[in-house]
Amino acid sequence: MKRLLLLLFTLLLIVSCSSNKEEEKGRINIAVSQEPVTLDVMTNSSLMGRIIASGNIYEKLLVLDGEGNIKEELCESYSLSRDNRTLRFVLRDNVLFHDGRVMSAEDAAASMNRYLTLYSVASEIVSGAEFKVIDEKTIEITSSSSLLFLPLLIASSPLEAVIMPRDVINDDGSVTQYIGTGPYYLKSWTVGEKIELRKFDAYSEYGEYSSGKWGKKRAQNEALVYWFVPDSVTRTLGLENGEYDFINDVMSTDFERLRKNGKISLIEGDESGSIALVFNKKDGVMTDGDVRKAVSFALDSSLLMASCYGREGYTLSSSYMESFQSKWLEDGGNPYSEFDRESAVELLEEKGKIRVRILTSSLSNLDRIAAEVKEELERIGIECEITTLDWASFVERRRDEKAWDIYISAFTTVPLPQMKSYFSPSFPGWMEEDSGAYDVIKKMGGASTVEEAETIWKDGQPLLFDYCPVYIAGHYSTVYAHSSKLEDITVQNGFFFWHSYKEE
Amino acid sequence: MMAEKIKKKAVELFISLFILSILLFSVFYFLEGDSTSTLMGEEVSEDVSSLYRETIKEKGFVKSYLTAMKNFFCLNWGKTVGGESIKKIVLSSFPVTLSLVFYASLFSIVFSLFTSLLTEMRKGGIADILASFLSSLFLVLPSFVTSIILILLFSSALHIFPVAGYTGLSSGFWGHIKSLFLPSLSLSFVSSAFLMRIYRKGLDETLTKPYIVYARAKGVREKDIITRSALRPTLPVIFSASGEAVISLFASSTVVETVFALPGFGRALVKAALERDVSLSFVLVMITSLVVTLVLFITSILTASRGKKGEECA
Repeated sequence: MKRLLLLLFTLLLIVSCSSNKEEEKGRINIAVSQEPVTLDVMTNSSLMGRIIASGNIYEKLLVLDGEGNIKEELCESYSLSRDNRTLRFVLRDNVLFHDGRVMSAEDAAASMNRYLTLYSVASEIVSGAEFKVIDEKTIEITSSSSLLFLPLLIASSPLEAVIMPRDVINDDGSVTQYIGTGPYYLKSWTVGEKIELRKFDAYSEYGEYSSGKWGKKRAQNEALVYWFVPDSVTRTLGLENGEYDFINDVMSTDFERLRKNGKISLIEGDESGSIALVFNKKDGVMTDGDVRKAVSFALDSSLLMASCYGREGYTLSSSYMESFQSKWLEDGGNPYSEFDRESAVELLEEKGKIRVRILTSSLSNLDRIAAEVKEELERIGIECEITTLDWASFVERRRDEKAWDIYISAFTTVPLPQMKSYFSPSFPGWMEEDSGAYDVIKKMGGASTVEEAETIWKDGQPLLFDYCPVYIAGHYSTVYAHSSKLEDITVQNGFFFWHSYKEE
Repeated sequence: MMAEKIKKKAVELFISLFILSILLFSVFYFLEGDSTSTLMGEEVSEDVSSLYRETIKEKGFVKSYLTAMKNFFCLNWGKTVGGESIKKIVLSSFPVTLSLVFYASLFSIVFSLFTSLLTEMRKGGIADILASFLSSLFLVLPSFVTSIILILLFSSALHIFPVAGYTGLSSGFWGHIKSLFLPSLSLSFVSSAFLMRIYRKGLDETLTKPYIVYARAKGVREKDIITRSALRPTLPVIFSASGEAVISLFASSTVVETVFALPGFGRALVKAALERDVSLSFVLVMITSLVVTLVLFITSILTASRGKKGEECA
């Protein structure tokens, strides 16, 4: 027995003395909670894929800088004709793809046309028009409708308008090779483990240093490694132990402990989206506007958000847009979002017995919000039934208007109010086309200047509030933690390491 | 005699695999939701996504099943929803789970056998009490709890092992062992509890046999009785229990892989199921069931052959 213990002990000693994980210089280890399905950010808007690919592997014609202005990235300049019908891009010279080829106007046109086919909002705006090659560094699109908002879409839509070589786009529109013009190229993707990006030596820099996604990106690090670590405890312990330099999705229960650790800093990201209860306006009890208002009155948003996120990591606001989009924030806020149980009961008088079916997905703990909604609605006498599904089943089930009355989901931030999918008559929730509220949305799309759109939005607020298509519980933001050795991380709807380096 | 038994077992194996494959395929085929919703964002035009949706389900059930089976056995496994080669995923994730399960089995079988023999020698001693206590403790602690306790102790406090991640055998044996030591230890706990009980029960039963009583009366030392006379006839029990333990380790490896962020089979399967990736899920589950049936096959053959020898010995 003693001999065995001794043997075990020596074995342990040998193991602990043997060399640690090879410390590569300039290698940032990032532990993320989710693995993306694909890095084709033109078909999938999931945030993790965009954080890894957009701006690192891929670049776009236009991007937003830290202040939210549209700036040129892969183009030298762009111009919109006086009637807003023609948009022209002049491309930058000698921009290389990761495979060594020079980006041509054909590549840009092919990528942009793929974007226009895939992205529903963009294809509506251009009404069938396509980008055409004018000369070797110019592309142009002419449409029968106003292209006023197309530059903003290209710079900031959730499906990203990235530029890739035209021959990686297969005939059926799919993409299997991830090649872009960005400062990093994809070295390897081991499913279930990690994605490794390596510095692209022939990257052509542009602009000046800036705080946002635009500007000079110097890959100061040889490699960025995104490790997929689904367990939050493992991520936190790995950061404390020095195995990771950066982790995302820090749980609110870990805040205190990490703050006390002098070697670790916490950053709160900007609002990355909103939690919404979408009402079924096509079928069932929720087609009655008074019931929608009553439900809005009956809910206490602070309890809803706390049930899911705890004490931090969100802001309470009933506005449709996120707080950094100051142009589009409504004045005064939604009167029906105030917690007012008496008004709710008043509205429900003479409505008889109401039963509500709530649909939600188990993704990011949204089912906890559903449980809280149920509790609060039952206090005003509404009977509730919750169905929790995984994401794929949830998406399928909510297409069926007979299957639910309210569904709870998270909506990522979009640059324009009319791009919120729940304002669309064809998206589950089904806003009624003949309602005055939908007229507001329609008019905004047809505006000829940004100022005009702003006025339409401001004036239309009472109509939208009164129609009550959704209930916004609040806006979530993610909290990140990183080793204090890592500086200058860019945080703008995600986290990026173009300017950061690790002190050795 | 033996050859016939093997043949019978092989037929059983084949039939159960066939039934399993039909069950599996129908689950994946008729499950609500499909890969379109995970691959394509909500923002993608309805025309494009519905076109994609049609291409996945255009063939009927029987035809899809037959193609899937044919492709599986021809090793023509195709690609995942995300466009990655399935063969590559299997080749990279299978060794991880295999080594994890191998080390965990080694841990639990050696540990359980050692403690059972030790406790049988000194019944009612400290080792005996400690062993029963440990086996109850291991049985009630879920593996994600033990995993975190192990990480806190060995990684955060003592800095001996890494918190998470996998190092392949190709980049050094010690690194490999180091990355898998805590996961396999934590995985082995559950099966150790089970194995300790079975081994001891098996030994206890053998120890009541007349020839043991005879040996004792002859004055053979207790140590020799247990390690020589009692162990061999108990081997069939030990083999079959160990086989079952290995299979259960395969099943419960997913939790450990998740906590330690190991790129193993279990995690790939969870990902595939959530993304509604029918081809990947089917290949992964088929391989798992092949391995499980194979382990069962081997243990039943071992048990049968050992059982005969055991009887002769008695």
